[in-house]
Amino acid sequence: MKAACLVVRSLAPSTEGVPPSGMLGDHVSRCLRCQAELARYSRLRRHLGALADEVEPAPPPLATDVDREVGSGSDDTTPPRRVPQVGRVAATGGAVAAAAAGAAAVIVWRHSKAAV
Amino acid sequence: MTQGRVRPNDGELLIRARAGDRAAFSDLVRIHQDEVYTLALRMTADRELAADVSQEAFVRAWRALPKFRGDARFSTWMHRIVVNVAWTQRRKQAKHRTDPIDESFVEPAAESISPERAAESAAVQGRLRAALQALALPVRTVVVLKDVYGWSHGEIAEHLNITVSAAKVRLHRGRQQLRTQLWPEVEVEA
Ligand SMILES: [Zn+2]
Repeated sequence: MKAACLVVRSLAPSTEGVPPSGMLGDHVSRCLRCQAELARYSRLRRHLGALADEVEPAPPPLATDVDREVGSGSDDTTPPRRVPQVGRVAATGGAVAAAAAGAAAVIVWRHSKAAV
Repeated sequence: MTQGRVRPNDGELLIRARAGDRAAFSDLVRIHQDEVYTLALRMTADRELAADVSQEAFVRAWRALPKFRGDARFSTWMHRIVVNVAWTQRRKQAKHRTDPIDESFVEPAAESISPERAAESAAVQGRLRAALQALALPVRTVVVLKDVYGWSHGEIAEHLNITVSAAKVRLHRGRQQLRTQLWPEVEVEA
């Protein structure tokens, strides 16, 4: 194999269907071996592109698994907020704790008032 | 990036899903699940992992819906999420046994080509799928995103957190390996 053929072969995977220019281009225009090599990569890209039209059926449980994950045991239609799930639970827990603390304070205050 | 098929209901379903309508989101999942799973399968080359990646991608999509501005198609947005999920789970993939994918992909009807060409094309496609599966994950990912789904090197680099040069090198290597797998008989002429 000629040196030019080896260069073309090494460059061929990245040519994107554009033939080399200059001296290498002159060589390719005369060399059937290099033309065939470039044509193989064109075919390869065409076959890969055709894979985009093929669809593999998702396994049946996928959609129901997603429903279950997204539903999280609730059937309301609360919009998904930007607060992450963990943060929302923590925030809700905090609010409940604060409310409980407030109620306890009121009870303690009433008791102390009654004692007076 | 791939344009996918026309989905006239996406817009309305998206509006409802963004407002928190789980049924609308469920419809979106059912419309897009095959496409999402196919991409996940192409990236992972493993059915079980592909199902996990697809599920995780849809759950992330649901949580991120308020941030979805609609400047990209829902399918394109889902593709990006799938790529991110699959890529972040790649260490898990490396440990996971890769089972050979069978040849059950649904091929589009071959119109206006001769039966001989169609048969030859189908044979090459079958060998190509097997060869793709044999590529190392980082190389396969770039080949799939660039040559199957039409992503730019810039998009690939951004989503995989690699340089554009690294993406180009992996694509070059991947195509070279695929070419050798598909036409090995031409390799011995040096
Ligand atoms: Zn030559």
